[in-house]
Amino acid sequence: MKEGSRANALLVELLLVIFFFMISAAILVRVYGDAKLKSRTAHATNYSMIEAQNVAEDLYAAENPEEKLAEYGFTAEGDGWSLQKDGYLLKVTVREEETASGVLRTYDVSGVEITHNESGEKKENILLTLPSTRFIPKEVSP
Amino acid sequence: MSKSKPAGSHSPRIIQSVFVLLLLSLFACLSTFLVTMGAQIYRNTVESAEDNSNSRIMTAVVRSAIWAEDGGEVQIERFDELGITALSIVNEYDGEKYYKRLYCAIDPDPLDGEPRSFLWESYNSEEAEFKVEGGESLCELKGFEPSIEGKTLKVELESPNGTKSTIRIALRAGGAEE
Repeated sequence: MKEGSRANALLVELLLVIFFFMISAAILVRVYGDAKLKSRTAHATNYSMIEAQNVAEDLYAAENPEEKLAEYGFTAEGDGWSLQKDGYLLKVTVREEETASGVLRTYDVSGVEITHNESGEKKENILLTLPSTRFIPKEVSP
Repeated sequence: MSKSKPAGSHSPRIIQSVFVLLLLSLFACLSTFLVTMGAQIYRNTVESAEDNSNSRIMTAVVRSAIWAEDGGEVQIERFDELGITALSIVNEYDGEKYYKRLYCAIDPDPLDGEPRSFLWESYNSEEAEFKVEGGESLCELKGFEPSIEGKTLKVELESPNGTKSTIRIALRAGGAEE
């Protein structure tokens, strides 16, 4: 009888320990998941920043920016261009401003992280936007 | 006179002991798995953070060094006897040419004395002879390969842990020649 109650106490103690262990494990797994997600976002932000700077610089220097974007592998999408990279998306949109002496054309290069929410819907998170502006003077008649 | 126990009376206790042992082994397995998984995720996170910071530092250092002197003429110089390819920006002051050079060379680490590859920056007048040790080491870097494509300067960089990055810079004020 004494031996049996000692074994039962050990069993209850063990089950309690496992129960608390399971709760801690569930919390830890969630924390690990968050850490991994944050690390992935940091990686995407960093590399999209480097790549966006390269694209912005190339667009600034290029004679024909659209041709340069095609060289990079960008595809036309709606009112801009997009390029899927490892873990992030690069998007380029154009806006123009008319001035008295010409047109101010700005290419906005954005790094976008694509995530999925709990219901599985795609969500776009803009990490950064770098503008690259060119001035195109109006042709002056002689 | 003691009574002898029936042969089957030990079996519930054996089952209980086996159950406790099974629970213990399950507990041990799960805790090992959790610790291993945590260690793996921690290592990946630290490696990724290191990789990010290395690539960010090396690209930022090179970009800012070039932008700081972009008014000058950009050249790629090859010093075959030293085995160095340098990115040089030439500026002229009071009729004398000054060279700002960025290059990759090996230097003993200030902390442990081990030879390591660093990115160097030197600033000399045209008359002064170029010496590797005449510059200043900026950050640890394994590879530095500059090239010029039209109006764009392209630099391929390799971080100490082997991550490769390419930076492209439009040369604004000065010209460029290989």
